[in-house]
Amino acid sequence: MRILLATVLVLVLSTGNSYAQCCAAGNPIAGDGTLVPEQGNLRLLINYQRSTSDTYFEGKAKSDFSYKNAYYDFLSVRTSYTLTEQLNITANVGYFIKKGEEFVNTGYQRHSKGFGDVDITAKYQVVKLKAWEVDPFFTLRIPVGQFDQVFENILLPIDLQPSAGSFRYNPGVAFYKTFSNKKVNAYASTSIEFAEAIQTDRTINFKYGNLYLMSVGANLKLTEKLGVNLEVRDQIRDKSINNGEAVKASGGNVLFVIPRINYSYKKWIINGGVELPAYKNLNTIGYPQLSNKFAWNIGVTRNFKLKQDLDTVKYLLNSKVTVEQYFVNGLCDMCKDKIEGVANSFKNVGVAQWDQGSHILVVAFKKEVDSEELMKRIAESGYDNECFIAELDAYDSLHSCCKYR
Amino acid sequence: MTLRNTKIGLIVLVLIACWSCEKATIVAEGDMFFPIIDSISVSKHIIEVGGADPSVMRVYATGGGLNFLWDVDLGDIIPQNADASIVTFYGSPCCIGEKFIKCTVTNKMGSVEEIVNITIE
Repeated sequence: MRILLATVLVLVLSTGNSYAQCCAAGNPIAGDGTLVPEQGNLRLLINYQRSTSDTYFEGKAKSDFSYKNAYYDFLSVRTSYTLTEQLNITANVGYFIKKGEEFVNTGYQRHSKGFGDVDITAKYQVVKLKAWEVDPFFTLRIPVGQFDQVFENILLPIDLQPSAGSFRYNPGVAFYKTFSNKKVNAYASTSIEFAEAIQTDRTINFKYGNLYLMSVGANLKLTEKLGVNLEVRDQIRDKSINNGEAVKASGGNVLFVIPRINYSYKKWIINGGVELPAYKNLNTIGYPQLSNKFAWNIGVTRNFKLKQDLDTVKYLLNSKVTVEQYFVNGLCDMCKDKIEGVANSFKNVGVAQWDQGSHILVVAFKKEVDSEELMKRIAESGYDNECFIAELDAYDSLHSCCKYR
Repeated sequence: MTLRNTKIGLIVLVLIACWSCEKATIVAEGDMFFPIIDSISVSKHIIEVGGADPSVMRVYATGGGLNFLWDVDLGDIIPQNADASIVTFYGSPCCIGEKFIKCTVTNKMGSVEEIVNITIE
């Protein structure tokens, strides 16, 4: 009974997004496991994913059936912007470099390429209690890519087309918790996807089955630059409907384990991960279904402080300013906010930016700035610099993740 | 006078007929004419799931400069020659049941299509 309850709890709290190759729809999801950016920040993620499928399943068991292998190479660009403290908008567009299959008996290969779909997500924070956050969201998936690609005089089947060919609607809710040491945060989300019938001039009347997604995961910061993420995602898909009848070899339940790693290099974060199907139950006894074997992805992420960067550029372009640089020790984003906060509020300072990698504080000003006094104020806030060493009580007052000594 | 009036009347009638008629479809141009599908041969109308028991289809069509396009809602059609006038249909496990396969034959004059059915068991 306890095992059943624990399993239900995991399934309820977990959301996932994965695709069996048979009759798969639109863009695969390849996230980086990170939270939404802070207000006024724009996050850019460019990701490449490779997936292969060469095994058929009936129910929970691997089948001896052999017919074709499938694969894809997919590139996506995702931008995420937090407009207000509560509202975040994310847009994701994908391109299939190649989406193909090979027939085992004959060796014949065919493929498609092109834009997939555009996904737009609006996420709104309704609850924020100390370290907890609850964000309902809604994703609209728009079939912008081609759905009628022809390969060697044959109209390619649905699961080989780059686009899903139908509008899909995905409401859900996400939960976040940040732990007191700030090195760990956990998340969970759940959502349901409803699809319209495919819009095409072809003589088909096809509708993808509903998709129920659940995932739970955690991020852990190992060092200043290195972090890991582990996510468990469960996907349950109803059978697709074609001409009013259920497509027998479709639908099922797949549980993925997704470990990821990320590394900060200057202003970029390099991330990579693998998707491993740990459990499958494709409810198609008697009708073998091709299922994911393995997928991996690699990507880069960059955060832009959009408003601040624009203000900085505007200041530097429109004024005759003096720019000075100072060494200031520190460690994390919180240090950056604090150091820049002290500097930006100092008399006559126009803009100030501290770089996490080089520990250099760049200060631009029109009228003369008392540099010694500025460094003294920064040391009083707890940060050693090229002029002063912070007193012990000032250093001790820093948050645990900021302890750079 | 009467013969002359009759001729003029006939000319006027022909001119009126030409103006009032809808523009006729051009059905031939040089060696090319509107495509005609004479037949589609199907080696088997019932096939088994998997790649070992395919059905071969061949379209016989005339018209000149023909382009062939095949389409099925669910299932796998593989071309067997360069212009895809001969194709093979495989019994994909995703699509058990009766399948309707459409062949569209096109040239500069127009297009014509025909549907054949094959059952996957």
